[in-house]
Amino acid sequence: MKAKEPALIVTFANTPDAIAMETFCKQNDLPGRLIPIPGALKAGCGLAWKAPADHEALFTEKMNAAGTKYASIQVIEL
Amino acid sequence: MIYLDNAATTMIKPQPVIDAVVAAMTSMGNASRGAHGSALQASRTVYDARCKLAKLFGCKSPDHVIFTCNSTESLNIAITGAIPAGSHVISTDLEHNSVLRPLYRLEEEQGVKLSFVPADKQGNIDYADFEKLITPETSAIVCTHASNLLGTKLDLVRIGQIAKAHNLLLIVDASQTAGAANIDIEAMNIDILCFTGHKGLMGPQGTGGLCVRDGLTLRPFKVGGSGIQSYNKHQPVEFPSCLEAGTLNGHGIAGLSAALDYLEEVTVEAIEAKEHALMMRFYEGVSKIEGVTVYGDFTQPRTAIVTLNIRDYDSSMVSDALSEDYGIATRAGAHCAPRLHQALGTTAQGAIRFSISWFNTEEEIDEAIRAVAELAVEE
Repeated sequence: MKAKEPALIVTFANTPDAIAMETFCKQNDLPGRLIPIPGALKAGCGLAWKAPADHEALFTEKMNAAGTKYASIQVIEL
Repeated sequence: MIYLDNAATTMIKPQPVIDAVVAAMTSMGNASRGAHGSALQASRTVYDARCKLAKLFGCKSPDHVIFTCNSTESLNIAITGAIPAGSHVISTDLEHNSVLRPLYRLEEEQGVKLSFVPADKQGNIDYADFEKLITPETSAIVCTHASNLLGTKLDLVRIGQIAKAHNLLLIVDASQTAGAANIDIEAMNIDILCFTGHKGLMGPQGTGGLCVRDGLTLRPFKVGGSGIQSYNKHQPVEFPSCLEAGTLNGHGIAGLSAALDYLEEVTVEAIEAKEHALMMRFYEGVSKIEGVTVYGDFTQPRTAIVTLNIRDYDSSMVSDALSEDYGIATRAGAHCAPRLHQALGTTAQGAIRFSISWFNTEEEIDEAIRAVAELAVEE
């Protein structure tokens, strides 16, 4: 396993929102990819968007401006 | 074979539909079950199909497009999930058993009272009857968009206005019209649209769904795996997971998605126009034949169905002769439409239904007319 490092994690209420996020990021040249939701955030399963930790402000601004649906956005050690 | 049983299923599919199913069966993981490449590809495919269906039907939120196996499952989810026990529901004589049986079950088990807008001998209804049947307990109107027996199309804009004026839910069975006629959920005030994927949409069997209006909650018909919130004892409340317990028919949905691309390319308007022209060609041909009785009103909006009988011949025997002697596939009998057969007076004889698709040709229609003419010659 790689050493832990900070990452920006966006979570969603459902899978369609997660897939919509992937499309949104592609269209807006935002970095990252879908990953299984980290256990530190939510026990169980589902998808989350992982992006560089220093992009929180950019993601928050772009997502809110576009009305992108998400449950939470935060930086955690992964 | 000349396939004229498209109201049962469109047997001939666009080639991209078949290719998409084969590709999915060799590459697709389980949608909403993991984040590896093949699972994500499945989730993307399912999401794309949701978006295309939302666009086709004018559904505001793709996540309010729910996938099921067929219209019957969709109608069971809608009818059992949205209609309160002890309330009153208005339906019509044009309905298929996929509407009738869930309603009859609610009547028997939940004390729901039912009223039916009657059909006349031509299969037409009087829209004023909806208003006349409304009581203080009425909670919903559940109706087909078009009869699977006669093709009679109901005016959903008008019915939607009545439902809205009286604050009633409108649940629509679009089995015969999805992909074959324009449907606009907003303009028609539809609360829940139930559709199948394997008829007018030209997708694979085992696909279907419902579009649920934003803000409406339904008690799930089934509960189970959702791919999210695994430690929640209850089905997640978020759409679409709330109504999609268990693995979806991802392979079928991939095919349906390709079918939706095909529909967008050729357009529903072009399909409807071609099917209507072929239907009128057939109707004009068979209605002149002595001994043939054609059912329905061809001056009213309709889907591409012509239903007839020859003299007093058993409809099953006529359909069998068409198949064995002429290679023409039709559907005989009662068509799961008991109330309309009762209205037409055809419960004993049944009727022979010819239903037309985008892939039929004028030559096939003319051969079918000739076959009916030969069978109608009195011995």
